Amino acid sequence: MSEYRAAEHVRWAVETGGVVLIDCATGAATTLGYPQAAIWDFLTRGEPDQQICANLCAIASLTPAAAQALVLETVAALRDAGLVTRG
Amino acid sequence: MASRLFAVPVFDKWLVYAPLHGVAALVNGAALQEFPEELRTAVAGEPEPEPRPREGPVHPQFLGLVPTRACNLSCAYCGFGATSHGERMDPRLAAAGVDWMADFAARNGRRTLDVHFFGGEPFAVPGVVDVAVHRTRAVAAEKGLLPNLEVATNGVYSEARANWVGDYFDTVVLSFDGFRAVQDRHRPAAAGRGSFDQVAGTARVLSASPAEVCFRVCVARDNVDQLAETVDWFSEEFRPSSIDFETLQPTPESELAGLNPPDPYTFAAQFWKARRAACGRGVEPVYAAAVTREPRISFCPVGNDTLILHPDGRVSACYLLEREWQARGLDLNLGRLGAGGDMELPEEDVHRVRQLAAGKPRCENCFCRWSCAGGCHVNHSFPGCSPAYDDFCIQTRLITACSLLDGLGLESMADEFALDQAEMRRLAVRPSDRLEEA
Amino acid sequence: MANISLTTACNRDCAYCFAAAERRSGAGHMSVGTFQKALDFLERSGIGEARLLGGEPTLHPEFPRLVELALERGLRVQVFSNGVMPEPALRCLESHPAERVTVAINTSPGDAGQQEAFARLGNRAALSFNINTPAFEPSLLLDLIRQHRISPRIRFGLAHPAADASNRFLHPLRYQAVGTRLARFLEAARAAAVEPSFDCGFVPCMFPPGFADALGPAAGGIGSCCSPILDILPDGCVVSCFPLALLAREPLPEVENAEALRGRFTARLSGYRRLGVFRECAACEARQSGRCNGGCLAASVERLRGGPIAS
Repeated sequence: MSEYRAAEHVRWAVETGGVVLIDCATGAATTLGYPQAAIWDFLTRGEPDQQICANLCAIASLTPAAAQALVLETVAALRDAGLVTRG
Repeated sequence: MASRLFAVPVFDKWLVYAPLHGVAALVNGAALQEFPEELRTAVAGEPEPEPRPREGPVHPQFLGLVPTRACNLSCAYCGFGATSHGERMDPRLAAAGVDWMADFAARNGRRTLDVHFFGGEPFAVPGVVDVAVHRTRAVAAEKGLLPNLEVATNGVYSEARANWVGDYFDTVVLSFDGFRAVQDRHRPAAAGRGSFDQVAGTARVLSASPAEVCFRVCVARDNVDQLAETVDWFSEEFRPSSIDFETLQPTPESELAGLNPPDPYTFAAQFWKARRAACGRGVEPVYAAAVTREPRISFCPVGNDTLILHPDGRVSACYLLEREWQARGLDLNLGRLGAGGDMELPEEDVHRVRQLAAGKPRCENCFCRWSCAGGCHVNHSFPGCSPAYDDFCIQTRLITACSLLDGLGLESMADEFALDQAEMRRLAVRPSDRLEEA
Repeated sequence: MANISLTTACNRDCAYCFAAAERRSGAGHMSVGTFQKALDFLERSGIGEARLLGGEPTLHPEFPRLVELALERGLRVQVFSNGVMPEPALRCLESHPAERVTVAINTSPGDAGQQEAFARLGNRAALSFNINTPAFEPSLLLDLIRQHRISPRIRFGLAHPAADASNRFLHPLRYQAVGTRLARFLEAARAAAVEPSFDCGFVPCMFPPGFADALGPAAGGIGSCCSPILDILPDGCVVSCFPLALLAREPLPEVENAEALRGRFTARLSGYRRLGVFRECAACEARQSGRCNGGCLAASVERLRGGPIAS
């Protein structure tokens, strides 16, 4: 998971309730609320997989298994939307 | 009524101040004897009740988190240092604290979830801060609260982290003592390296960020004469919304480093000059003890129901080191945050700490008693402290007087007063400011 | 509305200039041929006014001729100037009535260099005031209006980021301090029958409660004015506005009109519109109800992370 980074044409801004991602190529904007916004933050800062999951457990009160599943699901959705690519 | 009124001499006049009525006036000696009817009418109405120690359930304004006492600097006046106090808060404990505060805020109809970070240097354990910040934002979103995050930091980290701080925090209190020579002397990194370049770089990043930036300046004898120039430079180069000046609190470390507190009269004069420079630049200059907006019994966390969560789960009323309070015979612990997220705040402990905010004999006859309110309960107004006005009292009295004159539209008089050592001394050392003794 | 930038030359070096990036490009003066094309564009678009700016537009060596060309087409001319202009330009402007030619003078109170323009242009001149610091001092503006009998109008602008953010712009966190000071000044302005107008980027939350109601129709631009202005540059390109020049820039069309171009720019910038100048904008009732569009888009885009952006 942590090999993924923001796609080259994606920029983002922190908002009160999460983060908004802007695809500069298409003009599309996507808002991530919590806990996905935290996943985005850790991913774009290159945090290792284990750390992302451990952090998510504390942030979203999840079990390690649920945290890992959520990270995988979120990264897959971002990848399918063209918002992240393999770094 | 007379007991609620104070009068201090300013040149050939008297500055009359009724803090509980929100009234100040400048009168001549004769008027003071006659007491102008207009002023009497103004103070004859119902005053604000005298501030009293809090009662009832604990009502914190914010949750304080001390993620660690570790620090990556070896500031000349600080006892934390870069090698000790390595305890690190478990992120789950931080999250539990945030949850408690969020529940409290939601139950009490608050709009915001306020979490403040202290240290050491909070970013000495960045992972803990990451989790606590995101937990705060997540829980706030869930409960329909606005997150309000504040951090006191030394700014010594990478540009990427500085950007992150500016993006995720609402207020950043950056310790920045001034020009290179001052900053590097006051706040060196480990092994004596200077911190100026990194801190200035962080200040630049934060100035462009969405966060409010407050510079916190420690004033010692070596930089007291540069305050106005420092303000000019800060305002030109960066974008602080406020600059908070604090005079050096002597410590064994500061004495070893040859750093001394400034002369209080010099500090008052230089602060006033710096204040003018700051206001002209749209920057708010702050000397916290001289804020007269509304009567208060304490301007420090103690007495304001502040809850500071420490790495070991203790909850205290103060963010200073426990050994510092204990040296004054104080116990500022309020309770604990349990493993299950339950906050234990024994009533007797809360009551004990709240009562510290009352009964400060040194302040009884001082016109600043409801604004300064005795300052820090550990370093200044602790049980058994000297009844005589000290340097902190003197500079606070002088700056408060100048502020009151300024508020009356008497800016030139305030400026003149701040330049007149003899006049300042006359005001500063008066044992009682009560009107009946004027 | 569309602006025509006649030149990148300027005889000032204002720290807040949001055309700073374009000025540094050294594009120089607009050719007469390009100017004619720009006028064609205005006519095609049903725009009845040629708004001339720069740099300092009066420094264009053919300035009087360009003004006449616009007037000959039946267009009104509005010039945005710093008021320090060559004699031929000043003579040209004062030779036309206020119904045809107006001059918005970007005012620096206390600047002696502008006095002659004020004295000679009279009611053709109106004041323009750009705010780039919360410590601005507008009180001299009323004195200028009284002294020179210039038009009793003041156009207020906020200093927005230049395309490369190299200028000294007003950070959104300072907006409220500006709004409070401005609200106080405008009470005095109203008493003196001076009418304010607000350029792009002012937002309702920067003013004290009740301000917009008290101001009435003059508050119209607040919260709503940030849309492709269309700045036609000396090199014949057109941008959405100077601050967004890197995001929305095309050659001046030969056939299309302003509406088509504005539509394209709007579409291109639509994703960025999700942002507001503050982190809280997305949750703000004024934004959600459409009373406010989130402030200056260029200032909003300053919050983006992940590297510089460009079209």
